[in-house]
Amino acid sequence: MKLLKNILGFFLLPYFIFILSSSQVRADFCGDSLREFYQDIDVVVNKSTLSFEDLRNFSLSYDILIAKIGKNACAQKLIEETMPIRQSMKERRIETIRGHLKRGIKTESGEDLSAEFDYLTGNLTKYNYEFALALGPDVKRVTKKIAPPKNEKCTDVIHQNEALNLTNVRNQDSVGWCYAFAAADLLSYQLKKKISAVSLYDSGQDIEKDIKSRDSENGGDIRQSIVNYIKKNNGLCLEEDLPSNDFKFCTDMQYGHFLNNFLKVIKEKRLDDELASNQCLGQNLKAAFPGLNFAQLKNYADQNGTKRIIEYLYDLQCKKMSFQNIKMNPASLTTPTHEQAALLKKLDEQISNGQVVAIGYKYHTLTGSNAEGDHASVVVGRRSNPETGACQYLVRNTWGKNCDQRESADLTCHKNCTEKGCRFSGHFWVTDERLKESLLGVTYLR
Amino acid sequence: MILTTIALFLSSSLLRASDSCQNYYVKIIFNKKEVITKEVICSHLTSDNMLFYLSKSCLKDQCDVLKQKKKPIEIPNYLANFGSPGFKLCQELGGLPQIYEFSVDQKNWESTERCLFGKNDFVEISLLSKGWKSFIKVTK
Repeated sequence: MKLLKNILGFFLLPYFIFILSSSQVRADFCGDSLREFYQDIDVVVNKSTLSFEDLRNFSLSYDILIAKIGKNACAQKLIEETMPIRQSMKERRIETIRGHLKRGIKTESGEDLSAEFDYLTGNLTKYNYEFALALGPDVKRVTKKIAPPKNEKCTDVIHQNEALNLTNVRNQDSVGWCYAFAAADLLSYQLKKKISAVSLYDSGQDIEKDIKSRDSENGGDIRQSIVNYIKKNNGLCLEEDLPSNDFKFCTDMQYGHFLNNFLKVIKEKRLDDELASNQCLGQNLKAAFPGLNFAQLKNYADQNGTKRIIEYLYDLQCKKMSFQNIKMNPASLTTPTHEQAALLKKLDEQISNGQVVAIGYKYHTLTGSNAEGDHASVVVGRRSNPETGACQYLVRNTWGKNCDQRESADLTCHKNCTEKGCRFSGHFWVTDERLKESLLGVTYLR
Repeated sequence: MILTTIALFLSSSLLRASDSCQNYYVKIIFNKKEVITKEVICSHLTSDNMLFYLSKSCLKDQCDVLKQKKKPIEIPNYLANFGSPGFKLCQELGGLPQIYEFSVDQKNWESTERCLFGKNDFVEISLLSKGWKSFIKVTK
């Protein structure tokens, strides 16, 4: 009997081991397949809006999963396990299309969005949907959290034109003239032509003193910079005549450093030597002051040294004024004369009227950071946040196409997205409450 | 069935390609004239669908600035109102910031900012900011 048991055990044990291990292999195969699927969809699964391409990528990954598991015993279980994510993708695609249709966008990647919307919401059954396997009728819509009611007073709008838009944010580089850059943006939008930002320098002291060090810079007033410039010059200077930053230096990559080095050369009476030996200085001067007449520059330097030499160069560049005899009437509301609520109300009114608005604000209050100092930017849009219902404003910064701010529920960096991916635009959305608390002043053109 | 699976696998890996390099036209405005040169610029798509441009030598974190382990850094006046924080970060990391325009077809130009390290390495400043933002200690 004992011998029989041993013999049976000898033959049956491997059989049991085989059964166990093959089950384990099947479980690993299913688990691995599902894991791979989730890894593949990682890029799209957290996006709040889904493009047609996103859907295509998701659907392809799901098709691969289904093809892989085939008629495996775990197939049905896996299909059920993926249902929540497929439901979520379906809902997000529906909301994305809803947003597109609302903005008048009727097709995407050549596909009819209305038809897709009707199909996904169950109002159209006979439709050849490319992603039916992943998101077909078997993927039932779930009752989701009710979206916050839309704020009827906070309608979605973004103002842009050929001179000021979501792809051409400025970069004030190393100078502290945010007010001038904001003023230039305000004028550029109105006039549909890019106005020179540095031309609007108006810090109440000579440029040479202002750029000397970080501690010597004065700041300025947006409204005053516009009023004073037009009063003095009876026109405006274009960015193409006096570039503010959109050029390449061969050394001195920053505008402020270049100006300071140039002043040093003038002070030490080395202009001739530098121009003769250091090609870079000549190149940098030509880049910053296109068409510069060096003889005129030398003449001025010989007579005046560094005294107001940069202002002199700016005036030379802007000799041929654009928008001559222009009448511009910028208005400002500032604290403490006006309450912050009144500033926001005026800002909102201007946005509703199709205008952009320059703002002075406490940077740390607006961004929730511990940075010091006041800053100036331009508000170009407004929206009701689709997820939170909060009213938000789109702030156009002057620090290039970055997202330097810490993002939170109150602040998110704006991105321009295409089928290739998303790029920071240098703008950010901020809630109305946060904006209001930070405001020092608003300036707009009447 | 097997062929379909293979085909699906192949096409999906093509779709998922997140790094690629090509020649771009790079434009600078010099003395009111456009100067156009050609450069190899690579694109990198992150897992959160953000697209950045950098040099071939910096792809897959090969260059020193992307290889280095991030640690808290102090940047004086990082968020003060003068100067772009991205430029300050670039300098703090030992690079030179530069604004330039690039295009694949000389028709649609995009301007952006990059941080140059030596002759060959460059990384878009927005990519540096994204990675280093939470490590920056703001000081006066």
